[in-house]
Amino acid sequence: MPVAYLQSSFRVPSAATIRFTRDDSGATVDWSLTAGTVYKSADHLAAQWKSTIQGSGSFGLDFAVDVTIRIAASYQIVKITTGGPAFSVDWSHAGDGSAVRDFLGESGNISGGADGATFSGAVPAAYVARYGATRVSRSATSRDRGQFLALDGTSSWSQHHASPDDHDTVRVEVELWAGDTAATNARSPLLQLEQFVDALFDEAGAGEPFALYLSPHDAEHGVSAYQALGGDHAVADTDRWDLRFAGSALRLVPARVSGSQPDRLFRITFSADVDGAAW
Amino acid sequence: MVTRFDIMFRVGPTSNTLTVNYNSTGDAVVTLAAGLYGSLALLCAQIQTQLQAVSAAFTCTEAAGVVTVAADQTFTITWTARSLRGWLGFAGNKSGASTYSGTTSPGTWLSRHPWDSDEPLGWEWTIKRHRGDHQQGVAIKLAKTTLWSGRFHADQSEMDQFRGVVSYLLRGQPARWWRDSTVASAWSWAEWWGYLDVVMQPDRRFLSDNFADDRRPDHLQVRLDFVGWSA
Repeated sequence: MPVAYLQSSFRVPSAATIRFTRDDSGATVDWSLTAGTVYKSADHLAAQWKSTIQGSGSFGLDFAVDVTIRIAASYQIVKITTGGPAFSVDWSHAGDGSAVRDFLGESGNISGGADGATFSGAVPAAYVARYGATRVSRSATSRDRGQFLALDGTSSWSQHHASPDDHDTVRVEVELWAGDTAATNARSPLLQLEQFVDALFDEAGAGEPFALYLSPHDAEHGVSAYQALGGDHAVADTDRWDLRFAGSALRLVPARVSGSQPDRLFRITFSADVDGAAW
Repeated sequence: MVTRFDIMFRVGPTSNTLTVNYNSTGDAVVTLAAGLYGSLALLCAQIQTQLQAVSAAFTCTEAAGVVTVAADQTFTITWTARSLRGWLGFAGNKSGASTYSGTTSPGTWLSRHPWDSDEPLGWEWTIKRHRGDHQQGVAIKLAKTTLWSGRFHADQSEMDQFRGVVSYLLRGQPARWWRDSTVASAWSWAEWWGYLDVVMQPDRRFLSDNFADDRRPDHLQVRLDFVGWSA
């Protein structure tokens, strides 16, 4: 069964240079972020970092850094794989990289990080619905415009977008199934959902739009089993939507799915406006 | 599990005194500390504290919504605050005994049946949103409320008491909801069955109770929706 997950976009609040160091050789790669740059999701941010490190050429051919957001339970956590050498991360080598650090779930600089180490905390503005999205359906399509009609009926005008490239507004109805088969994790999807929305609005740099991914991961056997078959959630068969919650009152009330074990499976529904076309 | 509601009781200038005469030593006015009491037990604890300024032998306890005031000698109670008297389940002044019990407090309801819910917990975030041209915009969080709901079951014999408690809820009075009356701690993610301080969701203006089964007109079920509340 596929997994669906939500991730906040990230707008870099202040310029920063993040230094990644290969400990055995001392080689470094600096990743410079410009204030105001928007990344579509935590996946997107991590992919950019990975691309910067791998593209630097500073590490030699035997060293490939894989920075990936891993799915665990109802949250996501960053894992760095180096192929062997230990590594260090200085988040504020120049400027202030603390927002990036917090957004990715780390709490401080990393020194002597082991190959395959995960960050100290979960990505705060991410949420995993382990049993996928059973519905992401378009419910309405409209085009923003202003319209004026004189009361005497003698004149009218309307104003549309200035650019013909502007997107239509597309309303979608989303239904996620979230849960955990472990008794000790019962209701944890509710806790994570609350924390996700809070972080979406509270975390520095986070905010709408957020990305909804539909990934072909196997929820029961985990990411590693899927990846052993050559899968990765960045591959093209993952669907992504960029969404904003619809309306100014966001009400999320997960419903128990009848017939399931008590508090092990919940249905979460909400309306959202699509920010761009799905890809 | 048994669930219980305690409508909170506010002690103020018109509901803060009673007069006792312990062992014929003379009338003593007992004054309660002003405040909002989260449960009948907390109110009784305050009454006991103040009574013990008269005699250490006084106790004031409650069990299943019934209040008992007791001492080691005979004593009288003259109720100077009728709202307090009624809330504690007493109909008139008391004399000639060393123990007095009232009827069930109008603000307390215990169910014999477990409650259930399809949507036990949710949230509502109020968002201020600005949408600009070319899909640019910002959204900030203004407020957040926590939503709770339960479907409660009552037998015929419980209905009067239950409807009375719900009438307080419909007026907007806060209540303490003991989701499992055997759990004394507050709700947390680690204590799912802990008690909650709640008020009825503001858009609820009436109560609709239904027969759980047409063949059992003695058994009603009611869904109640709450928002989390704190003083």
